[in-house]
Amino acid sequence: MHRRHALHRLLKGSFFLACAAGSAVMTAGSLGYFDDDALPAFVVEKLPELRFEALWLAALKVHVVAASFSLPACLLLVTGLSLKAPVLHRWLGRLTGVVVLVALVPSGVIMAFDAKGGAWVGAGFVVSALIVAWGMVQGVRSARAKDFVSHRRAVWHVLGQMSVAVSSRALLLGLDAAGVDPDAAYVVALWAPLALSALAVELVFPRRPLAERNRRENPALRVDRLVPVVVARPSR
Amino acid sequence: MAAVEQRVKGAVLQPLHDAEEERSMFSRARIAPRERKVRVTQQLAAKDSQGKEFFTFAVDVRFGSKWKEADIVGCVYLESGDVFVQRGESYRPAAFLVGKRSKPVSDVCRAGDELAAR
Repeated sequence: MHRRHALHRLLKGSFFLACAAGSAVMTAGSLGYFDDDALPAFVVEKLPELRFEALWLAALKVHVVAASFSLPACLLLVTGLSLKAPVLHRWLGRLTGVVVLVALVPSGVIMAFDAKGGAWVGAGFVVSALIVAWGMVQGVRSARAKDFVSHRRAVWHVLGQMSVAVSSRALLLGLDAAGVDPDAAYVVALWAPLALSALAVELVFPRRPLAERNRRENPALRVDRLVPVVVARPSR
Repeated sequence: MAAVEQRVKGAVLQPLHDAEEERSMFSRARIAPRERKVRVTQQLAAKDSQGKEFFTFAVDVRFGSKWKEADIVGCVYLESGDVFVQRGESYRPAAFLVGKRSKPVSDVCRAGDELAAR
């Protein structure tokens, strides 16, 4: 049991470190998007074939700023440090929810329509964005309902998909080193981490059992409502 | 031909290589190819609508063991040393490939008779 617990801590720690380091490197590498004198290589590749150039360029900037905030914020939100400070957790969670739903997801979907790698890669970005949006909405709803088991599962789906930004790039480097054709590598490097992240969250954070959900959804079945009735009987 | 190749190497391949060396590994841009090769695609110089001579070229790239032909295409004006690359339907100065903002240049890299036919 101790060994399993240690392994769990090691995996979680490695995941956090990799995501935090990846996020920092990506943020530093994205500063060039705000330089008016030079075009970054990622933008040069796209021009002039973009269908809606001004919209795409604006979406890129919004996405970069939103991602630079959201990924570290989500990492902070699932750490023990933030969970021990409920007020901070609540307000940081609200802010992150707004940034993700108003900026990160819409800008990502706009960029997905001109994704490098074609329709399969574009579809992958849209699926990932939908999981993030669904996870965030469910995360907020379950937090408001004080259903913290569902909340944890939903927000880990959000974090899992955000981590794809890091794992996908790392996989792309590995596939390039292995000499894989870049067109195929783009598809694999997106879909594999996307699907594996979603699967890992489903396995690590199982759904609440049906009986427990029914009790929660039907207040009459809740134990705290039933107890006073049982206690009250003998006193009559 | 050798002069054209040298000019393309100096104006396109070397700046691209330098930019890729500086770029973050985690950049959203395409991973740099393992190798680039210049092909001069015209044996004789063509003349544009202003009578200036140019040679067309293509740059092939290798990812893994697979070569992709004509990843970059463009033209060289040997007299002035100007190098242009094709982006979409238009041609821009080669420095565009390393992020220098530049507008399309009309009437370059197209033979005068080709332009007249358009």
